[in-house]
Amino acid sequence: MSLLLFYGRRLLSTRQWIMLIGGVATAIATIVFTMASLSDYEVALTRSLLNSRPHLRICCPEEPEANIERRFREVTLLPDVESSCIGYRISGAFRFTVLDSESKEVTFSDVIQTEIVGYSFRPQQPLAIDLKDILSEPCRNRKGMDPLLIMAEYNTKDRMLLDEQLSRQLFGIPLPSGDNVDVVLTNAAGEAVSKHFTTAGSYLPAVIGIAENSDHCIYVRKEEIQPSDSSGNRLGNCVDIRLRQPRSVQAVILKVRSIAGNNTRIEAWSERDSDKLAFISLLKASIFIATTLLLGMAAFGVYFIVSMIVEDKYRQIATLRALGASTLSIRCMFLNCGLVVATAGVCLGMPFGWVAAAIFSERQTELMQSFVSTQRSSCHLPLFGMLCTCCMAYLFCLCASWIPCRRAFMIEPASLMRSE
Amino acid sequence: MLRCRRLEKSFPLYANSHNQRLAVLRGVDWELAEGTLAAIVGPSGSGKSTLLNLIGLLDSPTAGDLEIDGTMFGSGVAKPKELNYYRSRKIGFIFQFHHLLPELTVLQNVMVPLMIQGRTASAARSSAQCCLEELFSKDELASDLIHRTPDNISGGQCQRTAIARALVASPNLVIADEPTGNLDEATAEEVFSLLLRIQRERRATIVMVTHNVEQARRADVVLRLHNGLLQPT
Repeated sequence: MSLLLFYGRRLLSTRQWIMLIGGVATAIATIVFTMASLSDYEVALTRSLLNSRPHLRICCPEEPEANIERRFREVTLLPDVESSCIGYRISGAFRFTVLDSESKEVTFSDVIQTEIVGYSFRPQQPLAIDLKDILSEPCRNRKGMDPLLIMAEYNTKDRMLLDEQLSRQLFGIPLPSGDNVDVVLTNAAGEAVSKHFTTAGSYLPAVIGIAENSDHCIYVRKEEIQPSDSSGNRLGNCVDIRLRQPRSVQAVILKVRSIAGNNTRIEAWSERDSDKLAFISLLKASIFIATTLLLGMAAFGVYFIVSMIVEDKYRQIATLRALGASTLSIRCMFLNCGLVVATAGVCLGMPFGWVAAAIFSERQTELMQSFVSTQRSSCHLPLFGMLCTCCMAYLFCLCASWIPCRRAFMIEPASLMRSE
Repeated sequence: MLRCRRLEKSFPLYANSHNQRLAVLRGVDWELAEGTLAAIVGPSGSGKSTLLNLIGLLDSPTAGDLEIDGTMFGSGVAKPKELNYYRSRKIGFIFQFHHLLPELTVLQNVMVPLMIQGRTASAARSSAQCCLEELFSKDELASDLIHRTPDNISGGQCQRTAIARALVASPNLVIADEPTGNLDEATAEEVFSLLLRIQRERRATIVMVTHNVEQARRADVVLRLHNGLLQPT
């Protein structure tokens, strides 16, 4: 052991140690960074899916719309249910004037008035927009404009991006992603120009908002918002439910079935969004495998340099053997190289990757907040992924040093005198 | 101290050839008393280094018995672990080309055999320093020589460091393979005189291979290796 510490650490030059440790640490940092970022993305997506969309939607198309509230009353009173709302068709729900933004490059620069007609949901109270709430929002956008509504053209498909918090105030809950909204834009000449938009919900806006050229956005002054007129609104025939424990949706479905009967259509968030979550898991697995190749390359570096050391230090190894060093201590000396490289790589790479992911997450949140109101997200550490990365780093580095180390301990001490 | 009985060593004549073998040692019978300096002479290729390899337990004999300090080492008798133990504790080696570890300082090189034995670094350091004080002059020690690497000292100093490394663990037997073969005449004389002085002072048993007739004459016993057999001169 003492020989291992005494001579083993001198086997590699400082430059070689730095190269090997740097390579392994970089590979580990890359894995941690991508895994943490993807986990962050997965958590944000799940949170967004749970926040912006109903956890459970119960529909009964045959039932007259007026009876829906009565029919599902027992369901909405279940202890698992946090809140429920009945589908509501909004017509002329709110109206405001859009001023020309200070930028001349906006797409709808001539629009002075906008009317939105679309579907949204009412959380068991009359639809009303309290302008005071909206106006109390801190102004965080540029040019003194507030991002009440941000409209953008994205890949030729029009989308309406709505601030999540504002959307909650306007519609009770955030607008679901992918819903259709008709927006009637009135230009300065008083002509109505109808545009069909797809709401991006509370999650996608952030993504699109970053990718989208902000020159194609329209900003609305809060002062221009007019009181709403909800006289044209009417009920739909579905009940949307938010659960206290969204993850236990399957248990609630069984209860709902027993209460509401089999002629109802029940849609759970986990089934509706399973493809999205499965895609993220697949993406994580694929990227983990891809980044593992980096670790493989770093381990090849360990193999290459340790092989070179065995060739270079042939005489020194033979001398140590002649002086009585056991094959085990020679083996340990080289395995120790792999062990030190893996340990230093893990100790440097893990925090570095995590800090990089945390900074990236922080910057991303800041960037998103300049477009839409988003919750501050914390960097999520994928513990299982990190454990796997640690194990792989040790496995790869030890294997990489084991192969050349086999050649080292097979060097015969007698070869020293024969070579003279 | 050292006893060889019908010691034989042969090597395959060609690679992968087991039937055709070249016999280098053909039954060496030899006995060496403790505290003796034995010089082995002979032409190149006569098997001197092979004999030293066998005596130094670096190689195993094809046939015959070898006894060092009462322990028998025949063909395939000793286990590698036992050989390592004996090499690290009972035998010291001085090679023609000093074979000091270039990454280590003079002091650290002398510490190596003790570290192999499993001694602590501080204990090894103090033993190595004592040994070096015995072999180097005060001027040399004052010039911080022991903290220099082998690249930064002379050939004679390297060989003296190698002698210190061989003696630091107080081995029962010292094997020296042409210890001055790589040095100029004056330095060779200086190193050999030192070896002789140490041998006399410590009553060490040394088996030395040399081509230098003058040095061989100053040994207690001189043997010639001829036709694979050891003969007294």
